[in-house]
Amino acid sequence: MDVEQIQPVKDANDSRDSQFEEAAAIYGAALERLARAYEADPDARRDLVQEILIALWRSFEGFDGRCSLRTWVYRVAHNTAASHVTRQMRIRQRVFVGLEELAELPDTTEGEAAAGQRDEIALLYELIEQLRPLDRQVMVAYLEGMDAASTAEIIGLSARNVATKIHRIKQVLSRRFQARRFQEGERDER
Amino acid sequence: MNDESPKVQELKELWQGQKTEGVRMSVAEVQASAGKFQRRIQGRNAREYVASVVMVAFFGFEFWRAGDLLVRIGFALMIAGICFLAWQLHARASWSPLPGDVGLSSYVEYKRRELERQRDALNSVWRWYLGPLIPGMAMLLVAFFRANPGHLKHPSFIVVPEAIFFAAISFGIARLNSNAARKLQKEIDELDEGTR
Repeated sequence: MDVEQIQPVKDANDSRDSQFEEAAAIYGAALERLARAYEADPDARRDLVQEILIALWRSFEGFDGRCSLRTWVYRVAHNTAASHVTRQMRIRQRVFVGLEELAELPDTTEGEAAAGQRDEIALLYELIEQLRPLDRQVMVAYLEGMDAASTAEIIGLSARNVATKIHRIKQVLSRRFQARRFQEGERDER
Repeated sequence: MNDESPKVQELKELWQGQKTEGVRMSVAEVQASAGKFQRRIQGRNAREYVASVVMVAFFGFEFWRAGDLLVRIGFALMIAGICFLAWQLHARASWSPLPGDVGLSSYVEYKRRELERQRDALNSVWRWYLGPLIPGMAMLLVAFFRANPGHLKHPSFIVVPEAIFFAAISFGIARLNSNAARKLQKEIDELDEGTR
């Protein structure tokens, strides 16, 4: 291979590397939060983050700017993490629920919440871990501050459908955490 | 109208403000890990073919030992059937890392493709899983009765029960796979519902 053939390949590799570095710098923390939403075990979670970063680096070979960097990064991250969950489902035989079913499940944390033993982030993750991958993605995107249109672009649902799910998320979170706040208020008064 | 309660807004801030471990990888580390990862996948897929290799070795040994031509043909057909089955397993079901264009696909598109692949594999199980072994098994059965004509005096004691047993097993496998394929189709339909 002569120098003229080597240079375009080198340029393409440099571009992939610099895109990866940029994405890792901007979204590194968000990717860790996302991984935590898919994997509770700390060691497996670190592996998942690395798996996401590897998939991201490989994927930049095909990134041509037809979508935003954020959309691309989150698609790669969610698809990698969802694939991880599917593998774990086969191993651990776990059953997940959708947002509608989550809204109807009894709040099993009431006792602990009343005792003030659980912090809210841990409770949030407990809720998320019960969700099917698709609803989990909507929840994580919502908590990251994304609107329905951006979330729909990443996940592939219609914006209308995402908006409905977001409405459900707000109901679930309000119900679970407002009830907890009320119980803590009652306890403080005593 | 924003129907987000102050508590929900607080939760979002809490979420986004979490302290993270700071897991970071340099490009060099990613490249090294990508290579190790690929080798692990190849090892995992290779282990899935151990059963095929053992069976081919067994039938190969029996082929070498057999004196009768029909029996040898039977074993040769079994070996060919197992090789075909292993190749189909590799093409349809071997585990591979996410494709390089994973960022081009939304989760729904990516999941849909996976479900369709699995559904089609289950729906065609006769063609690629059960079917390839039938010629060899049929030839070995013919060769067996040719070599032991006495057994044919009471076919109902051997041939019929064997035929029923084989048909029942095959029907059971096909039925289980068909049920599983229907469940996958239901998941695909639910995904499509969500895109409307």
